[in-house]
Parts: sequence; structure tokens; C-alpha cells
Amino acid sequence: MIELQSVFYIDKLTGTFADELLGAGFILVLQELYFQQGVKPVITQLDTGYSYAIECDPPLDLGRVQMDTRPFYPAPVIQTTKNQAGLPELPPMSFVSYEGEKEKRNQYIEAYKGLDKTAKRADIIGEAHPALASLPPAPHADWDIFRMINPAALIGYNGLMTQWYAVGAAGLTGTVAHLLCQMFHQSPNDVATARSTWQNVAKANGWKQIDATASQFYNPSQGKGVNRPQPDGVGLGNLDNFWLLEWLKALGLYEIGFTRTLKGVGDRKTYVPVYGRMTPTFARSVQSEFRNRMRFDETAVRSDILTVMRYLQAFLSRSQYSQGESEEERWQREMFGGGYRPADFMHGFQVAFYKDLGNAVTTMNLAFLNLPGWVTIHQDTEVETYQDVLLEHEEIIRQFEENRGDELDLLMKYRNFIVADNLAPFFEFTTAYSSWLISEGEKPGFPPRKFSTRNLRRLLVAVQPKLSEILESPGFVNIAYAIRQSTVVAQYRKAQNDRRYDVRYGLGRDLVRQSQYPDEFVAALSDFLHKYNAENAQVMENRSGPYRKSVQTGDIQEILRLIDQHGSDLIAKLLVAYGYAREPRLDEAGEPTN
Amino acid sequence: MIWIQAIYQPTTLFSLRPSWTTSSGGKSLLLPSPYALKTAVLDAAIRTSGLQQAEKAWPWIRDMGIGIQLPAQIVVTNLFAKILRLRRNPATPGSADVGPFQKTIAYREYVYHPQPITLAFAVPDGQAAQLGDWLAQISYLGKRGGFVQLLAPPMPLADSAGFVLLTADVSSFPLNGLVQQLDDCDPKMKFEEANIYDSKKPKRVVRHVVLPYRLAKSSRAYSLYQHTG
Repeated sequence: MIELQSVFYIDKLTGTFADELLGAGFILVLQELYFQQGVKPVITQLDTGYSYAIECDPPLDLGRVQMDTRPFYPAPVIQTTKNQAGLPELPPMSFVSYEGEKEKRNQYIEAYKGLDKTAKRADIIGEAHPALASLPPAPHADWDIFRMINPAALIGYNGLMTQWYAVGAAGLTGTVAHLLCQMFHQSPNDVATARSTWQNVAKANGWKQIDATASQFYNPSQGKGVNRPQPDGVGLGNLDNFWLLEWLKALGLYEIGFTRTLKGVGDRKTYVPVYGRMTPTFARSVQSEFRNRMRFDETAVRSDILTVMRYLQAFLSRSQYSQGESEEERWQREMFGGGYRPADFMHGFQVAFYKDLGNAVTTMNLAFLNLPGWVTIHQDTEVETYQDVLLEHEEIIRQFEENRGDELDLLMKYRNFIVADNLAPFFEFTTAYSSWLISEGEKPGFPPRKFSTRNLRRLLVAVQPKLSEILESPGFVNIAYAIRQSTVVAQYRKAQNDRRYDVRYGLGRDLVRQSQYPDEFVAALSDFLHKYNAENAQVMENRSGPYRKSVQTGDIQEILRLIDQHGSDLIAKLLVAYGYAREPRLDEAGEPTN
Repeated sequence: MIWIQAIYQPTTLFSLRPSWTTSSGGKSLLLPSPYALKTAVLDAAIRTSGLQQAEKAWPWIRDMGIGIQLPAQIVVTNLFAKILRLRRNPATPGSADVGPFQKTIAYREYVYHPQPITLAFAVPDGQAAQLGDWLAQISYLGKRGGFVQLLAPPMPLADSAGFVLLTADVSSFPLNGLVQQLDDCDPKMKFEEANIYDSKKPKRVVRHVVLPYRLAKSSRAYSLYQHTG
């Protein structure tokens, strides 16, 4: 009898990344099963709310799955000097030497440290450099996962992998793979039947593994702690799950997980993408590029921001049209249709933050960070536009260090914007950033980076299209120009020994502070504009040009109309955001470049 | 059977850890589970009517049908809290936190219900008045400190229309809904198994309830769920 299955379901029961890891692990197994049958399928993972539907075209022949006995090793056993004596004899492709990989990584890092700045820069931006060719082999792509597992979860992890190895060695790969397919061919998943079937298999082969400890690294809500149906004690313990589920989660972590210790501390963050609609091949290509962009340790808040930003950048770059696209990439692009939002295909990240407590770690936070929903691609050229916006934001964010109070505050405000599509914290950020810009601008060295008005406009209109009316108004543009001339431009001139115009310190904060009440805001803005025009007149009388443009009465009438329409709070924040941004640079033909 | 409606105003944030997690995980359900509600009624019964009457009432408390009306939005706050955990090694004599517990931190979630929680209970006809009295005595749901205030005396309902049933196996559920694994009492669970002073473990069943919610907004410290209906 031919037994074909075209859809499998992964129930989303925990609300943590355990569900996503389970899905990714099972897809990996499905791909291997298809490979063994000599079929190249199109597999699509769809979010249906309560579960993930994994659609396979053509359907998987479960009859052949059951008959196939070839073993495969989707994840390695981790061998260390301590445990190698206790491990079974394993084929070379089924294990990694922890110490060997550690040594390889140390050699690479040591050599990398010795590179000069030009070589490091070339490496970061992906350009060729002669010094890069002489580097030792790069560390294992999954080194961070090995490091997380060893030693805290090593015994449990190796238990899963060696059990799978034993299944393969006994020629039961097909039987167990069939059991997995049966478990996931319906929702709710039939775990009880699968477990009972496995019990029979295990008994017949003398295996004791039925359940396995639910590791906190794959099950962030099930770390060692109190769990008693009868509230008669507070003893700590671990929970157990069916071992095949835990094995799939471990595979999933290699496939889609990204885990890192944070810079300078032992704390760890694990990020797992949550897909809305995705094919594993496309997901893998994005994941690979994303990992390549995330090569260095980051601090906690910067890590969240850069993870979301760089994943989006990787997604955009992979979704760009290229003549060399594969059949699946073309299919993926066609699936996007006329316009698409990356956030529809990848909703965001499930994140777990593990605090290092010395001899143990504890889960400190479980959160969901959204991929920015304001990025919508209608034409291929827009990909570059959004890449520009994201790159500019990344360069600004990379200026901040979390060990400085004001910069940590800026990072937290920015994170609340980028992971939640919320403009309110972005305006809080731009207001606070206005003060930071002026303060840092006073210091010697490279001047701080500013948003460009062009990219700022793209961002604001993408999040709230109705803002375009304000941003295109000549009155708004001219008054933002006056703010810019009195703050960041005046400060630049001062540094060039041009002291014709005063720097208005704290102007941005003052305007936003007065913006709660329209009357007070109009009074504060009028006071500034009066002084601005007076200063312009004075300079024009006594000093040589070039001069600044003065604000006209028409501009003031325009801004008053906008305040009436949109409220003083929004206009004040927009003026400050725009006023402290730089105007785009012009190329030789006078066209704005960036 | 008769349906009784009780409307509770949450006066603090709600939190109830699912039974499949440990205290290290700290996830919270979005709403009280049938098991939590039934044990809250049992607790009120023991406190106000005495152990004997509560034991007698246990079979119909255990078998009550329960429904809930869900608010338009629910917000979950993520935070970490200081907790006490059983000490692994003895403390240094004379240290400030000497004793069987040590101070540590753990992740916790607290749920904000912006509207009163409206519950419906299906009980045998003769028990409606008794249940009404006990429902009035419930002062918190879920984790201790999740205080609620009954807004009006419980009223009979014609049927459970408009309520999401938490104790029934449903054949249809909302697309793109949100699954909650809620504990309920096993139909064979005896009073001794509900008695925390008895060593017999409680018999629970897990119900997978799909709620009509979607994650509308979230950040590091909160998640906002929006009703899809």
C-alpha cells in the first residue's frame, strides 16, 4: 500500500522557541528522508497560529521511509577528553572533538588579532584582502552551540545523539523516522502513540532511553526547578520529555538557532527565528548570511538590536533578484508576489536570556522581538533603499556602549522602537540623541554620526504614511533647517573656527519639553525663530557670507497649521528628529547620494 | 445542569505557571485554568462551609463545566523577581540569609486583564445557590496575590453562548489562534487527591484550548495579545 503524506503539523504548545526548534529539527529529518528517496521536494513551513503546517511537494512516501535503513547523522556527538572513553566507537562524520575545535578557534582568533585594520575592515565588509588568505581555517560554524552544551548539558545531549546513532546502527532508522512522521501527520501531535511505539522498539533492542531531560537550552521554560503536582515540597528537579522530541529540538538548534555569550560577561542569549511562511533552503541561506554578519560578541541590548537589524539585512540581500538565482529562489520570489513584507515570512525572534550565576545559569527573560513590519518591498530597487536605512541606523547604534548610562538609555529606547514597530520610543530616542550628538560633538575626534534627512523620511513614512504631509511641508522643512543651522551645523562651524553663529545647546530637549501644551510650544518655537532671524540679520550686517536662510512668515503660518492638525507633541518631536539630522551629500551631478 | 455567571474584577496582575514548566521557567498562562478555578471553589468551600461539606461537594465541583469571556486585549509583562530557593549547600554561619532557603532571581510573567474576567460555571440544578455563595468567597486566582473582586452576585445564565469553553473537547477552534495547555481535574480525581495534606497525587488532565488571540505587539518586556474575533 502506498502511504503518501503531504502535510505535517508541529503543535505550538509552549509559547517558547522549543516549538520552533522542534519544527526545524523535523524539517531537517524530512529533507534527509526525501534525499534518501532521491526526491528534491519543495517544503514550505506555514504558521497557522496553533501549529506549524509543513507542506511537502511531492508528498513523502511513508512506505519507503519505513523500509529505508540507511543511518544519517544530522548533529554530532560532542567528544571531550573526559568523555571519549565512555562513548561508543563512532564513524568520523558523527562526532566532533571539542578540544580540537577549541584549538582551531583559538588559533584563528589569535591570527585574526594580528591583522592590520585594513584587513579587518575588508573582512567585515566581505572584500578580498591578501592577509585574509593566510588566516588559519575559520572556527566551526556551530562552535557557539558546542560551547553552550559543554559542560552544562553535555551528558544529556550526547545521550540523545548516541541513542540516534544506536538506532542507525541497528538498522532501524526507517522505523523511527516513520514513527516521527506518524506523530506529526496530525494536530494535535500523537506523542502518546509514538512514545508507546518507541517503547516497544526500545524493549526489543534493550535500550533504556524513553524520555530525556528537558534541557533548559532547548526548553527555556523547563529548567531545573520546582514542579510538583502536589504542593508538598520545594525540591528542585528536571522535567523529562519523550527523547525523540528532545533530539529534534537539538537538531533544530543547529539549524535555526543563534546563541552567544554576551560581551564581557558569562550571560547568554539564544535567538530563534519564528517563521510565518518559509522554505528551509531560503531560511538556511538567510541564516548563513546572518551568522556571518554576527561574528563578534555584543552586549545585551546591542545584541537584540543588531540581531534584528542584521537578520533583516540578510533577508533583504537574499531576496534581491539575481540572474544566478536557483529554481527555489525564483519560486520564493514568485511566492512573494508583487510586494512583500519580510515580517510576514519571518515574524521575529523568540529570545531567551540566561543569566550566569557562577556555577549555574537561570532564565532571566523570555521575549519575542519582532522583525520591523515597516519594511515593505514593492520593487527590487527598494531593497537597496532599506539596506541604506538599516546600515545608517546600525552605524549610529554601534557608537553606543552599554557601560555608559546615557548611552544605555539611548540603546534601550532604540530597541523598543526596532523590535516593536513603535514610533513613540523612536522619537524619545531622537530627542535624547539630539543632546548626545551636541555633547559628543564638543569632544575631539571623529564627529558622531547623524541620521540623514532622506533616510529618516523614508523610515518615518514607511512606519506612518500620513507623516509625509508634514515632512513635505516647506514650512516644516525650513524650520527644521533653522534648528539644524543653530545646532549641529553651528557646532561644526565652530570646530572650523567660524564663530559667526552661536550654538543653541539643549534646543531639542527644550522644544520637546514645551510641547505638551501647544501654546507653550508655539511660544518657545517663536522665541527660537525670533533669535535665529535676529542673529542672521546681525551677521549679514557685520560679517561676510555665505549666510543662512532666514525663516519666513509663511513658514511660521505653515507650522502653526500643522500643529493645529497634528498636535504640538508630534510636530516638536519631528522637528527635533529632522533638525538634528544631516542633509544628504551630493554627488558630482548634484544628486543626493546618502 | 444550570449555568452560573460570575464577574470578577482583577485588582492586581494575574499569574499562573503552567504545570508543564518549572519554577525556573516562569511562563504564565493568560487565564486561570479549570483546575485553578475548581480548587479555588474547593478552598472557599472548606473555609466557609467546613471540610465535610466540601468533601461532599467535591464530585460536582470537579465535574463543573467552565467557560470564560475573553477581553479584547491581554498584556503580559516580562520581568525577573527575587525568589527563595532551597539551599544546595549550607550557608556560612552568621551570614545574613542563613536558613534552608537562599535568595536568587527568576523570570516571571504577570498578565494584565483590562476588563473584568467573566466566568460561567455549569453545575447541577440544586447546587447553584451553594456555588454562588462560594464564588463570592474567592479573593484570588492563580498565583497567590492575583487578587480579584466579585462585582455582583453570581447570576444564572440561559446558556454558555459567547463563552470559550475550557472544560470541553472542542471540534472547531479559531484559525491563527493561540494554544494554551490548561489543567483540569480528571473525572476520576478523588477528594483525597485534591487534599494537599494527603500524600496521594492529584489526577489532572491537560486540555489544549485554542484562544482567539494573536500576538499584536511585543518587545523585550511585554507582549500584547489582540482578540481576533
